[in-house]
Amino acid sequence: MKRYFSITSIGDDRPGIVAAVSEVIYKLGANIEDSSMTILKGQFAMILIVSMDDGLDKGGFRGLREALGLHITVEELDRAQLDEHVVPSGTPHIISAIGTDKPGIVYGLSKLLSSKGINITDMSTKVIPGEDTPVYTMVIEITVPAGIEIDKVEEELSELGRELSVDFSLREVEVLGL
Amino acid sequence: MAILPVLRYPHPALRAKCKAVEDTNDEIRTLFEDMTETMCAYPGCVGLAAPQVGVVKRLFVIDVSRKIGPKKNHGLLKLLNPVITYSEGEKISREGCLSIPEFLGDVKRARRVILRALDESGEEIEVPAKGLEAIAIQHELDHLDGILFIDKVSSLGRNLIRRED
Repeated sequence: MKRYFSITSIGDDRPGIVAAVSEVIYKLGANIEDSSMTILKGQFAMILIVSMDDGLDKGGFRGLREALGLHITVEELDRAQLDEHVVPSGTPHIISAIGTDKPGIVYGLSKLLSSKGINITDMSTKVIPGEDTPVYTMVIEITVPAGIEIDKVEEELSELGRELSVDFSLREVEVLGL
Repeated sequence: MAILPVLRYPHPALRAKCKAVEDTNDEIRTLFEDMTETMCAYPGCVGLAAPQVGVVKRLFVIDVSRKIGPKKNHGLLKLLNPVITYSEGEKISREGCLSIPEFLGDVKRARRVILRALDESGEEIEVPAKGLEAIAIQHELDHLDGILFIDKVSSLGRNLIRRED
């Protein structure tokens, strides 16, 4: 019976982090099922889901903390939960946002979306230096369930945008089957 | 007419460089009919290239009107030995492929193209296409060179998406 583990790691970016982490995973006999890695404020952040037939020896990652200064966590995932997970269905849309940076933009937007049962499937935000004040940018992908009036969502987004001084734009992602 | 089995990656035919069609004959016309029927058997599918049904020849069918209706496209096209003679602009679209059904990917392609090809009776035609039709033409033309949309997914951001339907 396959077992699944999440591995998260963050630390000062430098060449060799992926090689070092994946070497440990390989030598422990685990298989990388899914992963995402990026640099946030100079920190190299990794999230991986790995699978193994046996337990994962967490001690194998200790050397990485010492050698590369990485903060690593390893947790076993609940297999039953993974098997039962149902992906929310709906139409993919993208919301992009640009405005003056201030606390509460992500909270305001995500509260609006969750109140309508809209699932966030991907999100990235960045603060970029502006002429006078920093500029906040965000691209977020959502799944809009059937039955939600998208015009109404757009209206509420505009209203929220006025409150937060952020320009939101919403568009459907066109999927071309070939 | 017949619905043909669609090959899935990693079948080697999907990586083959397809050969030009020398002669438009009944065999080719039957293949076009079968490929059209196969495309239409999949809801939302607007294009199918010969290597996807195991025939390594330079031909494909597209019909974008299945998705966007009759406006701004040529409807059903059966094209042999196609060549893009002009392209301009850029457009990123989320593409899926019957041969890699598990994933969708955001791919950047030209917004407008002009295609030169032979039709099923062997007459040379020119197809100026834009938008989704231009995207579909480029996707299918790539198939004839053994190129799949996953080869063109950019590494910037999360551009390859596990299909959820």
